Amino acid sequence: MGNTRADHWISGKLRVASKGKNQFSILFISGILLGVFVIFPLALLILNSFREVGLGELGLSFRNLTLGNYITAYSESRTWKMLWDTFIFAAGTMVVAFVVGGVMAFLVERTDAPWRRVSYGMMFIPLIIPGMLLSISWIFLLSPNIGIINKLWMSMGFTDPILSAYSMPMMWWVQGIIESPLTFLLLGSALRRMDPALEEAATTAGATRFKSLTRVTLKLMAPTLAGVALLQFVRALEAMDTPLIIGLNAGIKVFSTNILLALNNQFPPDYGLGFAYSMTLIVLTAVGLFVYSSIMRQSDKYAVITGKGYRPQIIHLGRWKVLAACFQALFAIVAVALPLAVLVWMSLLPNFAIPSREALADISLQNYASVVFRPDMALALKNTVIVGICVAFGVMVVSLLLSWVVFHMKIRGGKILDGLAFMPYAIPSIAMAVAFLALFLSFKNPIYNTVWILVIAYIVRFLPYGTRFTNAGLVQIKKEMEEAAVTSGAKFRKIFVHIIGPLMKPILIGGGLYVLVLSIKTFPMAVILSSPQNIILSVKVWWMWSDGKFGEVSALAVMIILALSIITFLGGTDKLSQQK
Amino acid sequence: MSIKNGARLRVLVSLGLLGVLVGSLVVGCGKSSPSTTSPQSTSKATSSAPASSTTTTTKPATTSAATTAKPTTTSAPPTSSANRQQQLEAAAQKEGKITFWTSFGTLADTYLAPFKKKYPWLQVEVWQATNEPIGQKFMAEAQVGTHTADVLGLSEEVALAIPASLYGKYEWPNTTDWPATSKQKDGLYLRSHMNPMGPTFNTNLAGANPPKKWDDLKNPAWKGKAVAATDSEEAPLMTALIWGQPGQPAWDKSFAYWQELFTTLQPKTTTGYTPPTKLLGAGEYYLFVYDSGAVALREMMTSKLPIALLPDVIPAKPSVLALPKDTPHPNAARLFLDYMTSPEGATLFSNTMYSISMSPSAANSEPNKVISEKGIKLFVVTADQMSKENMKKSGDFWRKLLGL
Repeated sequence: MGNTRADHWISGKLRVASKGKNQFSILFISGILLGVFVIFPLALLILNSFREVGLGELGLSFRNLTLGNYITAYSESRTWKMLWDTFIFAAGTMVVAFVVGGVMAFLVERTDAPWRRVSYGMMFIPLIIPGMLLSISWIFLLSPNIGIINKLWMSMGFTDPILSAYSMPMMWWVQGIIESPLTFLLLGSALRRMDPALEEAATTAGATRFKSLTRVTLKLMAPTLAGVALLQFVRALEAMDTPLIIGLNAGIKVFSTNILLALNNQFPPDYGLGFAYSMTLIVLTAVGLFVYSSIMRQSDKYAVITGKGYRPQIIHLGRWKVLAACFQALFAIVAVALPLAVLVWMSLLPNFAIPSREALADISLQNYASVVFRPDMALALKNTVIVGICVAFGVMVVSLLLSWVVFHMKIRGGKILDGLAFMPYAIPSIAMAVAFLALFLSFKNPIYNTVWILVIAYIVRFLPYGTRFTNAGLVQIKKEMEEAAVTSGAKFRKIFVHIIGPLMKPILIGGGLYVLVLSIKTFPMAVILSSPQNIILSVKVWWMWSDGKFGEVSALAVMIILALSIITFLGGTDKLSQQK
Repeated sequence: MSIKNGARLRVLVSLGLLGVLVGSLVVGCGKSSPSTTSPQSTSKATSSAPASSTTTTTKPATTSAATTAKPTTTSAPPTSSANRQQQLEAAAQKEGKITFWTSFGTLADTYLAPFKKKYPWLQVEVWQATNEPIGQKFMAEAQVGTHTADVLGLSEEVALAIPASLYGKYEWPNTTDWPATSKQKDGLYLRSHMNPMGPTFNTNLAGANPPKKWDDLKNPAWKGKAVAATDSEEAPLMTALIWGQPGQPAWDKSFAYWQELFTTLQPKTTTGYTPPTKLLGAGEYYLFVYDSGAVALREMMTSKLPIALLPDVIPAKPSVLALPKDTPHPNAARLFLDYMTSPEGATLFSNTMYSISMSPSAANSEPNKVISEKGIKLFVVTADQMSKENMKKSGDFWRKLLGL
């Protein structure tokens, strides 16, 4: 319909349908969340980047203002080298995540490739394994000195190692594998909802399957691709695990390394300098958002889900099935099985040792027993379940409402809301945590030191993920169904419960699972917001890690992988069965 | 009509959002930092101790800390040792709870087991975090008059960054025979134990002639096989102190040493202490140029990793126990500190956490014995020596060495 008068009229009707208490509540909640919980940390970050500020002095104060942090951060030539390395690292990571996650999404969602259910569950494993542990696993596999693969290689008579864990390509690989589940879920959701009629029309017009894929499918997925690219790029910019464990050893320094070193690795912590470095991430994120918004400006033209049905067509691979199976097997072995095997090996030993007869003698389930019988483990588990479920649910609901306000209601300034919802991504955890601490200490409330402060903080923290999922999903849905409902007299709640909700269900499940896993394993904010009452697993894991209990951390990771594999397998089973 | 409604709604929403944004800034702006006078720069403690007769409003464990009630009365602590224990126990029983904020690791349940057994009616809560979050949260709570910590256990660096006015006075009755270096001059906190710091090496890879002195580390055969941590910013300061005269750190000698060591070994860079120590034990590195001795001791004693601390004079950094001024459970806190400084508590803590106790009664703890048997001499660093200026000078040099 485009931007015609009729379209405006319908938009107006939609607003009317949803006006009153419901809509005001949505906007009010959005305003509260984004205004208080995003602007405040952002203001804290920006202001303190211009201050000389030490421990206990973070706040919205104008004392000790200085430009020194920026001069220190950006006046040295090595900063520009670091910026370049950061770009190279982020770009390479994005490519690996796109190729691995994208191909797997295509195979699982749009083809009759074998082992699709297994592949769906498998894609979550790199996400579940703590990043530090995954990076360490690759050192144990590919270190020139002690790497198992290199030891095997050199035992065959070769003098040089086959690959070194300490290199930029390995950083791309490890971080790319960590990020690939996000690409898989986002692209998978979009691919699943592709209108086959458009592809069929292209094929009927004489286009080859490849042409139809590149000229129709990929073009229609532009908003999703842009969202994934933006997320992956910014995620790689702020990634800590691989740069710290592998990058530093390889002599490669990126921005996130310096932010961490300024904020956490020196005493007294140099918050001003760390935040000055963070401003680069804020600026890059803003630029990325601008590009993303430009693509989303004409979101209507990417809508493929109409009132006429949208069930996607499964592509029969025929003889290409073998190739698809090879790709899946390769992914299963190289990206999942190898690090997972190291993880299981570590979980069975008191200390890491290269596989040998002596090491086999030390194998036991002691680490598993220690984890299970750790004090407070039951409380941590209970809190983690509460936090995980509430955060996953909260993020997806708030994201859906925000995306709807931005892309279907199209209120003025909606894009600003979307931008604000993305900003928590670029704000360092310490700034977010201190802001939440200050906020919840500033008035009497029953939330401070309970799991609910973590739930709220995590909802804000993970909104950028939720909104990318829901943005990508909503722009695929034509407004004609909502319009039909409005003209039939449906109210806002009915439109949401009976139209938007069911159509977005696969997106909400995929995004919810992703956020659930993230909330289970993310710890930097929780460390400062935690208390004896609201302890969660990720904080416990962090402590076990700090205490050198790698075996116990590995055992816990294996148990979580098992549990989440069952959940995702069931979720995946349910979802894939809908395709039939 | 619909367009009119939409316009009105937009205005309403815009105003609502604006209000929220302004509100959020106002909420954040209405804060002031606590007194910035730190124990290092003050010579006077300004706090008064709560007492055995203090009446506190004890809240249930699940109640928000933001609504925590402060002690309502304060008076002098019991002085008669005969009655002290009884009075403390009676008052602590009413309080019912103790919350310990600590950066001392995850094994609190082990070293606190006898305390819990002795006082089964006390609910013992432990909040574990790293040092900076403890300092950050403690000061943030103090700014708004919320107090949830009863006892602090943290590094002396962070203890020094906390304003003196936030510490309470504690008599430390069990420490009369402790060395003078364990006492902070104003009695604000107690240096309860130390963590040795210094070079560690893989004993299997070191060969027949393992290093015995700092200078032995400059071994060209170890080029590319050593590792240095970003966390070890204090290393140049520590060697300057060890090699200098009292009050005169040998900065030049120290800087020259590290420069030469880095030129010779070209160590890889890492972060943290535990992962590289594990990798050192696994044979990934020959030498960790400045490690956490507590981590190394733990790995040597528990994991049997083939690693050793340099058997020369190495620095030892104190960690402290302190009583906050506005502790919500002052009597339970005193019982807790009494236990931690008792011979039993100090020895068990040392054995559990692989740290060197300051208590003479814990001289025979396992870590103390290992240090003594290996011929390691500890140089105990004082608070004055760890001044902000010294730390900055050392940190700047270290970051430059590592190319950060």
